[in-house]
Amino acid sequence: MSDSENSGPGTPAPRSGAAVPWRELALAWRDAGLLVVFATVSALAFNGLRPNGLPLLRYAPFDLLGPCPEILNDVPRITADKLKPGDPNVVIVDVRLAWDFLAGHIPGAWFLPLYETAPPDEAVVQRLRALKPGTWIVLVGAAGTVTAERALTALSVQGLRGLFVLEGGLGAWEGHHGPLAAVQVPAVADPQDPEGALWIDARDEESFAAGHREGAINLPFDDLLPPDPEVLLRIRAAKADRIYVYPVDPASGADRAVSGATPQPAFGVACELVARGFRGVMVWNAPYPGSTGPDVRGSTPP
Amino acid sequence: MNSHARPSSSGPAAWMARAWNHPAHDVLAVPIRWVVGVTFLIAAWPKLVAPEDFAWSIAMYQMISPRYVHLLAIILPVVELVAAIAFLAGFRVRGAAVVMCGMLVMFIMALSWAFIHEIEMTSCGCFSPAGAKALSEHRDTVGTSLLWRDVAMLIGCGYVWLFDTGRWGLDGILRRRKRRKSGHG
Repeated sequence: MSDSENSGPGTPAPRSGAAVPWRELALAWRDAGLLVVFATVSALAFNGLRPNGLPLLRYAPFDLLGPCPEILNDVPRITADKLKPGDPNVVIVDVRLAWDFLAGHIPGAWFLPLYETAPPDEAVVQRLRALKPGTWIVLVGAAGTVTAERALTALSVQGLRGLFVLEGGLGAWEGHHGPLAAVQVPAVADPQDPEGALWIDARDEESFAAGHREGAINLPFDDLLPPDPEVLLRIRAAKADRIYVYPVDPASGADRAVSGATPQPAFGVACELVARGFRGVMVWNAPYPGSTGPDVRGSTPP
Repeated sequence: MNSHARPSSSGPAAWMARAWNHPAHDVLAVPIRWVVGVTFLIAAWPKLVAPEDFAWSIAMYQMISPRYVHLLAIILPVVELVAAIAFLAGFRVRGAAVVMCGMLVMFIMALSWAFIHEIEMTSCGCFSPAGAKALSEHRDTVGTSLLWRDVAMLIGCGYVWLFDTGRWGLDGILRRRKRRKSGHG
């Protein structure tokens, strides 16, 4: 019996005198097909058995930067007149950034900001996933619905169902159901008991490394990315009843704690913390390190 | 042990036969298989753990219809895993090499697509499936080095397909056992 007769699937023939083993090279394609079929069947079975398996086909598009125009009509929309304030079967999710959320939001709305370059907050997604089946999740953005549509596609990627975009955004709700809730972040010029409070430095990492208030935690302001979850955990673990965020440049709108435009870093970070449920958050309405003294690591500004 | 046939005739055909069938190819193919196999194994694992993140990575390329992104995110990591295990074990190495070549051609096309269309992305999603998350965590820009890495692996897999008989692996063991049973051992 020759070598080639001995060889079967998975047992390629040993080297022969033939210049090119055409038969073995061709058999490789059959083996490749078998491997792919085996892998595909295994993958589908594995996905079907795992608790967080994905649906095989998506009904809504993936989208990071904007909705695809060809599927815009597929985005489920709901008008404000079909919603009742306080409906237990409806969860309103506000997808705007923190300072816009605090400036005015639907009472009881969940805060789930959708940043340009990051997927939705996993903790909030888990809470949404835990809702009883059949709950409507209504996503609210500003007057336009682009951000809400992005949020819808991002959440549907996570396997959530019952998602809607509020037609007309926040303005439509206000028109039907009355005033919005607003939260003002207090700004103080003279912090009480500064040693017993938690201090948050909203400047960038380099500035923080160059000098910061002793014991301060660095949470750099960023309107493109969410705050570092580990830093948020540290702040939460501190269990401080007063949190002061600094610094503020009094020359550029320091008296406005919440603004429709991108705020100053300290106000931006303070808004993030308040919107995420931190209590006792205040802005220390003063520059750093102050009008006197050099910027020294660990020094206490006046 | 495999016989190394020596064609009696001389000339270019005989020289080519000797070169093609030289036993050194089997030895050279082993490290290639291991490097590529381990690379694919490392690449497959996080995608298997978090297919939804990998789906985001695939979606970032904007190459296929969003409707089928999940399907690819479910199947591709397992194909990577199976091919990698086959490569490492030396089981149906030529078939696995064809699968690897196919995937690498697909990856090269995807990266080239991203370059040509200037798609804004800072992670290829090759090893970290969290495409969008990687924007903030890694900031490893999609550079041509990734393309060259895939091309190098493609050449390696092509070599395995053409020259590796699987002697140093499960294929060789099965073949030797079969030969012994049939009285040729």
